[in-house]
Amino acid sequence: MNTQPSTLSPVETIKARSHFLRGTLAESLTDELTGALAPGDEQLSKFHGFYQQDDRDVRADRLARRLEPAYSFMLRARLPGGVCTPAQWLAIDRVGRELTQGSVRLTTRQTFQYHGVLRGHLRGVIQGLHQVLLDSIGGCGDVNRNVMCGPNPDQSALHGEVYAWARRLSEHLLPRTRAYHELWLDGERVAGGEESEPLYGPTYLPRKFKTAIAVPPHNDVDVYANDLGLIAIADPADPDRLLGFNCLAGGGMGATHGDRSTFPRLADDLGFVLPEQVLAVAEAVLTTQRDHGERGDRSHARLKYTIERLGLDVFRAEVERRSGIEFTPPCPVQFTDHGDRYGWTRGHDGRWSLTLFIENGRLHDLPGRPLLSGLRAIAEVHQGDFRITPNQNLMIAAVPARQKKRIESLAREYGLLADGHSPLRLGALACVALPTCPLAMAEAERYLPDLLTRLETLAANHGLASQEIVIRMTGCPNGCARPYLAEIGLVGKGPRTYNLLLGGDGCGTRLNKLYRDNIAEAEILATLDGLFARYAAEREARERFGDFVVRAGIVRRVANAARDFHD
Amino acid sequence: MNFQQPDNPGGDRDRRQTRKAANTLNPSRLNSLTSPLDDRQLAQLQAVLADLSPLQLAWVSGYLAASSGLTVAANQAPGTERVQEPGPTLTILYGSQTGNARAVAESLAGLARGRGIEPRLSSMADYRSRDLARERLLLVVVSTQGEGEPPESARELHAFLHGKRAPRLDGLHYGVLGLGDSSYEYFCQTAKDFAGRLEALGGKPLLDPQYCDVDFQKAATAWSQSALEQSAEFLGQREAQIIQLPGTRPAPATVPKPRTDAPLAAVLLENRPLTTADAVGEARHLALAIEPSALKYTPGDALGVWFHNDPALVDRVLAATGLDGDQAVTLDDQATELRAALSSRLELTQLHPTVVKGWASLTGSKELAALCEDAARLREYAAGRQFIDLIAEYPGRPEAADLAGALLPLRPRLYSIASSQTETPDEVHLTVALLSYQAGGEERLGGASGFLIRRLAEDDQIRVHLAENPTFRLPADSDAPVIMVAAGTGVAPFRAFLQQRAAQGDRGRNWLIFGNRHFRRDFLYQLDWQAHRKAGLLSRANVAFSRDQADKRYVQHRLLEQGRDLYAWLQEGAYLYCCGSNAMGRAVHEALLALIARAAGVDPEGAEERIETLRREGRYLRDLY
Amino acid sequence: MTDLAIHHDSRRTDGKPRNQDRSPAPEWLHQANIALAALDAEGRMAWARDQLPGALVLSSSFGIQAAVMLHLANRVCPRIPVILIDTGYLFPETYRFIDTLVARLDLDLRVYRADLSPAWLEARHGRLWEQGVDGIERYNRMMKVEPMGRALRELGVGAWFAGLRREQSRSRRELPFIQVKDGRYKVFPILDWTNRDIHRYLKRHDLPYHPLWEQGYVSVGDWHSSAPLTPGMLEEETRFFGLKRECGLHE
Repeated sequence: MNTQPSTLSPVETIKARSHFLRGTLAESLTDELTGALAPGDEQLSKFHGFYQQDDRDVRADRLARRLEPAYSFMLRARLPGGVCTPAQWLAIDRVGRELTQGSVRLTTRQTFQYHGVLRGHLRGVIQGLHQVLLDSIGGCGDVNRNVMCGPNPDQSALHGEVYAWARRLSEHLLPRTRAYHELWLDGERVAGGEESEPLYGPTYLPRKFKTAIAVPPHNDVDVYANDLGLIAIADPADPDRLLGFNCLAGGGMGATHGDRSTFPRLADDLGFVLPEQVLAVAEAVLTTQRDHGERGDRSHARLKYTIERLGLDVFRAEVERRSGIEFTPPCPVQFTDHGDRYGWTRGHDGRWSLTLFIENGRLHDLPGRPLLSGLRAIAEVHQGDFRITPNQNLMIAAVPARQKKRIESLAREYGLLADGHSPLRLGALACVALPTCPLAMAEAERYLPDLLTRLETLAANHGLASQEIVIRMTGCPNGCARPYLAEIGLVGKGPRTYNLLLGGDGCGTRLNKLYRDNIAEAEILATLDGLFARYAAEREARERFGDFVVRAGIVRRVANAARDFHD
Repeated sequence: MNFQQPDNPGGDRDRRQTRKAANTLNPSRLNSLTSPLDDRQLAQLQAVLADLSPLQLAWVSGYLAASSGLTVAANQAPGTERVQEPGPTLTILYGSQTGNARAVAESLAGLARGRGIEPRLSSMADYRSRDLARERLLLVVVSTQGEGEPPESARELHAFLHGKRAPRLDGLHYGVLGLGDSSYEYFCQTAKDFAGRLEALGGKPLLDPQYCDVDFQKAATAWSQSALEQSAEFLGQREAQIIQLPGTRPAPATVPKPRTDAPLAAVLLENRPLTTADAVGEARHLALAIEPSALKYTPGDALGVWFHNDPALVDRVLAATGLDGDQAVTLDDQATELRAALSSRLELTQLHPTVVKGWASLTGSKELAALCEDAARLREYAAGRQFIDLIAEYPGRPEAADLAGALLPLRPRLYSIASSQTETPDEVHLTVALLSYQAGGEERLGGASGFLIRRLAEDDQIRVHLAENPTFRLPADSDAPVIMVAAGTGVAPFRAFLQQRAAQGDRGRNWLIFGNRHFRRDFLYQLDWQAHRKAGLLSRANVAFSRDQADKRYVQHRLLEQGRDLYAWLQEGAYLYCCGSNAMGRAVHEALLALIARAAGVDPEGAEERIETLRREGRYLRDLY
Repeated sequence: MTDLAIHHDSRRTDGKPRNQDRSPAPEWLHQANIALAALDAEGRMAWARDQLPGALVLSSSFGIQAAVMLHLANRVCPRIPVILIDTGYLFPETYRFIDTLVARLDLDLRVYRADLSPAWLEARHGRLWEQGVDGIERYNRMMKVEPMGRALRELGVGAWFAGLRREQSRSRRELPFIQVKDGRYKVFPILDWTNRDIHRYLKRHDLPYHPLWEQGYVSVGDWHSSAPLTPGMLEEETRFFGLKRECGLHE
């Protein structure tokens, strides 16, 4: 029933020959003439959590100097739910300062990554993390990625239960190969016995696989953007009790410019399952994708295309057959937002959490705002934990009331408090893009802060200074910052030009739609100036900008992504 | 390049053997077993000699001896048995790295012949150490490398004299002439070593040793005259009657100027940075267009670059001294304008202690005079400054002639060639590090590197000459493995080596061990090495970047780590090349000793012996500066 | 507090059907009813506001006690859209009552009507409400159910409040607080209220009864099918001549 293409993508061959993700990585590491990995190994390295990049700003210049590109690695850890202890944070910080560019990046998938890791430092980084029981297995690559989970501990006791399931899922869907330990940790090859990957098989998945759990009413994880989405359903009669999960499948952001057969897509409801059924269902979704996903063309290999191809009913039936579990209809869910709430919140157990705004998730020591040092100082006294939010912010969670003042004064001292930022800035996301991301077509993280300054002025001109509008920017259409769910999405098209998309709903449950193609800043500002004016004049009470542009017919509502996104 | 002996190369080790000639040449004793000549040549020679009168024979002997340095060598079969002669002879040994010591020794030999003494002239490299015990009269001319090291060609003899097997030399009379550079701490150290050991082993000095500084001509000539007077006396001869015959050239009366082959024109094609903007130090790749028929080079050779001083610097010297650039001065008996002299004839960028001393006497500065009294302080002072700094600090208003007289002549600088002519027939590639430092609150550039990198534009013409380096050649055996150890721009000749081996289709394996400061910033020619590796030419590469980690790592550390394999390569006949600074050369040498001792299980002396064997076999070759 | 009506209108109206024809997991619905039973009316509304997807609306016929639900809903969900199905046959008093309440409570009124005007309906079909159960049902379908369906679709409604009470009829006695109909949730916040509770609430908040209440009407729909409560009649018998209690919208 699977129709495999006659030509597999080259990556499939690399995986198949890799002997469970080993390839020639060990040899690659000893090649002293280059800071890169051998071709092929750089594909396998992703499964170990790191990605080969080079500083594209200097590529041509270095070539002229007879120097290879400035290769470095982006290493992304596995941190289910974004939770880590202060001791772990101190290790994350130390590794970041000593073995990488001196910064730590918080990601849109609730983990952290290092940039600019030289090949010779990879072992040191991985071993440094290992010492505090962290790893980077499946940080990238065609496997299940970091499992996300709504981090708001003040929700209820439910959160703790949901987080436990996020961890279980992460462990359950982990590759079983010993390659990671061999290459980076003990260096010992386990003798004898052929290894196997009972879940993944020798070629793993056709493409990356993203899993998230949302705890309503917050959709900060953008659960509909995941291959496997789970929505925690609280017992209506006992909000602290987890009743089960609504399962979703087939969400994904990535698209290719100019290829109308690719599109961002929201996940479909599969149905409701009880907590104890969720591992079997996750496994069934994953293996169905493993066996039926496209392995010839990587741009059509995500689960969303598999479901489009098979049909949702066929897919659901297959998942039910494999798991032996029959879905019951999904429970109602209500989302109110997909951003973060800044400042202090009080948890159900009386402890407090402080959410810090970290612009673009970049933590480094700035003049006058030594963010990393500040977090280090906090980690040294903090008794709760740290939680990385899906919006690249950081929560200092579970602070006892008596420590609240101390934490706050440290946060203030080191410039970590988000006082005075506009709602536009607080709700914005950008991916890393140039100069390191090999996919980037335009700037994102380096540019969005400046553009936001101009947009803040525009908004203020129209009396919208206090209006929250979710703005997200990426350097390419692959969508790491989930731009297709934003009220205003800017997707890099070429150097300094972007596609402008409008019409997300502010809670991550509606796709936006292309409004202007390939425009530069002047036109972006002029366009939004006009739209802001209309919005200010014509909006209904409490109507969001994304809803307004849909209601006013400025963009059409995207109902069926495959059909509507490009029309 | 920074030679303590800043001279020009000439191929010390071209296996030249000056043989005792006509006065010992008895045609009746000639045969093909005792002479280097084959039967046909012997027949010709005997035919020529048969009807010569004794006077004619004497002249011919002198003529042949004088020209032997240039003509005999090529056909000299090594290991030819020497013709033994009764009675003491004068032996002149030279140890030269780049040619000055050889030139002085050759001139000394010419002077001797002019006095009727027929000397035996040899490079130390070609001299059998054990013959030393039989010498009665020995003149040594030897230069010193950067930190007191003997030149490559003098190493073995130097080590022999300092070793346990050194013989007593009670019957020996000797003289030592050292060439060096007083801006180095171990000024003329090798010459001092020779003088000290020869005396310690029982030899008697004919005259005091002379240790010459960079402006060695006058002192060397004076010492030569006096050494030959003492020699003649020792040999029981009167001052020789110079047999001056019509048509002969007179014996040179003085030591000649350093040899620099006639400069050729070259045009700058490309000036490309090799290091990043944030690198510590700037290195560039220069491509020069040459006329291939006029300039034929071999990998390992260097190129002499005739540069001009920065016009701005010349102006500042003129302004500081209050002199008019149009004034005429006389240099080498030629009248020239002062400005032109400062631009292209006189050294302004390498401040030498002798120049400081000269300036001290010109200005009469007591403070400067006091500084000159303390050699170490003087060296230190001169090392961090240029002439402009000196005259800014100690102003003076000399006459133009005095200024010109106080300054040293500008010498071309040598750069190892980084290309193979088989690859680029009409180009020469150089790898030039920009010498740049702060002095007087300003940036000071090296004379030649500043000229090449900063002031020369594409299509500009410059003058160059070939500086052959016959002691640094690829193995003749195309299957022989090659290990190349380099630091910084020392990697230049290895780029040429690999190009050459690629072009020749050599099958021997190649191993590069390269060091610099930062992998990201100054991995010179990284893409070239990658291409060679991809092509299968470079079979192994190790690197050391000293500043990429907290503890500094250098090539010698990599050598030690790779000791077992490196030793195995050597056992398989590998040639080991080392190019870089003198300090790096020493560290690599120490590392080699240690790794050989470990891998072969021998004591340090045993390791030293093995290295000497390698050196003798021509498999341990160094080009240090 | 967000404006749910506008803010969350996408999930159930756009996109491919997401199990719209299915009920939620029975276990959830069961637990939800247990949960709602324990709450008061405002708590139930707040729960619905926070837990249920899609736009939340209130449907009102502006009947005798309509002011209760309108007032309650606007306290918990300010400016919640209020759907009124105008058959064209409402009492003039009702129309005036609507105007009064819209002004007094600042209601976001959304009026939906059938395609056919009353006159056209009668010209084409005669007086359907006089043609027995079939006629009444046909009338309800055309004049009430169709416009209501359209309203729910257009407003992207995921859940709606209705003021049904168990006391009102036998058919309502077994109603749960929340049920699923056509993929939407219907929530009955005052399901367990008695007439007395209603009366007390209106008095406490100084809210008016429908003007016809003074004339003995206990249920006011279309003028042609409502009558005052007279002694001996059950409350439900006051509408549709006793043939039907339900107006058609809540069947």
